[in-house]
Amino acid sequence: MLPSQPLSLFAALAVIAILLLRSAWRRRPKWPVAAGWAALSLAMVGAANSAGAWGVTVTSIWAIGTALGLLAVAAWRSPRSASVRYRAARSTAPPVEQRDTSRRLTTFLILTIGGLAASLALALGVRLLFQAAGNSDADANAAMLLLLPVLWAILTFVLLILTSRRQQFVFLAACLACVIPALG
Amino acid sequence: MGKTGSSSSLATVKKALSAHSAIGLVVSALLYIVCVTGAVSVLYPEMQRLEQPNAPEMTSIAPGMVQKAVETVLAQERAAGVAPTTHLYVHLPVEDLPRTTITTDSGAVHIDRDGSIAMPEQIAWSDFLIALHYTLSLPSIWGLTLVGVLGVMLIALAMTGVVALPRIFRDAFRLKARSGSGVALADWHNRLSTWTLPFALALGFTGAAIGLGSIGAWTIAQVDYDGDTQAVFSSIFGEERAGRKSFTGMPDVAGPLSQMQSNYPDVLPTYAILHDPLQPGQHVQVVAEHSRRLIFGEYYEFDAEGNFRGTAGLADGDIGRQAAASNYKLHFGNFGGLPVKIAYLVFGAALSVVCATGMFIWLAKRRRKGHVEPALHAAWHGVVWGCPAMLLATAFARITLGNDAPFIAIFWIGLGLTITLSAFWGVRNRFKPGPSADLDDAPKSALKSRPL
Repeated sequence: MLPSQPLSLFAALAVIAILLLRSAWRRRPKWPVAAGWAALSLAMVGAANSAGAWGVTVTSIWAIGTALGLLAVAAWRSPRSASVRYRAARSTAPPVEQRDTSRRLTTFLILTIGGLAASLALALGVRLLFQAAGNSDADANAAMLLLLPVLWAILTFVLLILTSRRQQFVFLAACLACVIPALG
Repeated sequence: MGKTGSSSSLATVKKALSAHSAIGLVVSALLYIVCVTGAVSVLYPEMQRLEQPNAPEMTSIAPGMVQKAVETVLAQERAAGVAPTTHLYVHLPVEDLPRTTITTDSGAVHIDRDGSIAMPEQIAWSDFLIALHYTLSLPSIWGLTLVGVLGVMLIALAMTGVVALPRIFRDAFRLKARSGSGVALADWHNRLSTWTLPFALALGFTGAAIGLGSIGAWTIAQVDYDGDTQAVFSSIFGEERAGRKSFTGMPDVAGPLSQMQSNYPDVLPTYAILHDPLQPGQHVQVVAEHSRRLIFGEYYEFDAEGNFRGTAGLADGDIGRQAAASNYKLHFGNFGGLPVKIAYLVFGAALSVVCATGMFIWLAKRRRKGHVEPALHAAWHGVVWGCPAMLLATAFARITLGNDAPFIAIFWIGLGLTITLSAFWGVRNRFKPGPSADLDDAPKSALKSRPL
């Protein structure tokens, strides 16, 4: 653990880290990039040690703000290139078929209703694990409520990159199975 | 082997990009409205002060004056024959909203420093804006859940976006902001989303957790609490400790506030909440902020006669309690004064730009594939410009028509008309998107790094 230092020190370190990353960007040698990421990590650890979650959040705001400031400078200095003439589409695409619409609607229903049900099942499973590990009701319930949106987002991602309906349904069924011990 | 790995990686990028587009297409309009209203809502206390500038302000108020005000309000409501309020909230003066305001089930009034009732609270426009962000003007539970789902999709968009952008770090500072081709649009979208990624994840996560709380709690209640959803929330945020059934006199608010000053001088009381005032079982809670913490506050429990009965444990109890209580300030950006609020306003605006440009990029991609959609393109312009324009229109209505102006109707009908008229205009004039929305003429080398 780092010794407790004023948070402003770590906020300043985060700003320096972003400036270091910017100055080393697309240049050689590469070590300043590694140094930049190391400094940013150190700033976050130090902020957590100094002021907990509040400290990490405040330090992150300084880092993000610095990066956006650098982007603003880049935008300001960016040269205006010659205007480009509008080019018509190369071809006319075929109209959307009825089958496409049904396929998209099915995907939507799988992601919303299926995704919600599966993420609730997974979250209930996690809650059960928390209880089995001897955690309090507050911890178990909070874990479920906080994990639910994260699990749903991950499921949405996974379901969308699976290539076939069969894979999607098998995956959903596996997630839904997690609810069985919780109901038992 | 190398080639296989590379093609597999390329396939993953393509799938992630496809997923990113699919999610964005479904949620972009509503997500954009939530982002824009969320960015502005950070200044909710400041907007209240602007909306009703003549309300009395003070840096603090004496506990005795709060007691006097509470008694006056309860007496007035009883005399008026209003149904007894289930809760009475006293907002205590704080730095960004230095006002004392009492809210009951039937209304809200500002209190003067001497405990007298100064005037009714009139902040309908600020409340409209907050409700638009929380629920998209829908009935509470449905709206909150829908916005929660949008939070989930924001997280999913961030995840798919990161996977779809393999050169996320290599291009971290690349920004051809005024390029005449579509490079500028893609650069703005990718760079802003890269650097606001922690912010987007935090906002999406906390917003989704708040919005989907009811669904999650309902599910837990069905499994373990005999369907009692309130009991689930109580397990996290603390139970309401009902007072003596026999005591139905005037509740003591001054006593608890005085005890807070003497026993907890390091915390900042923000609210006094009276549960079932003048009814059997009435009791008092004081909510107090803890410095340099993300928790919205700690509940200090008192009975109606002013006896301290403990805290809920949001500040020092189970980690689950502390985590759940930290959602709100992290989402609303009210944990570091005006500088943090301004940062949230800027980051929120950046997130809105990411939403807007994402759809324009998708439309440009469609056009390259031969789908010429002037109506859709123009309609999206209608969403992007119509949302802030209608917010300004509601603000103008507040100034000209007053507190009772129909803000919801003005916003939604106005936005609907803007989108419809834009679409008609687009079809009629064969709307030609500017070069910034088209990647066709961008140098091939410049587009190599871009997923779109």
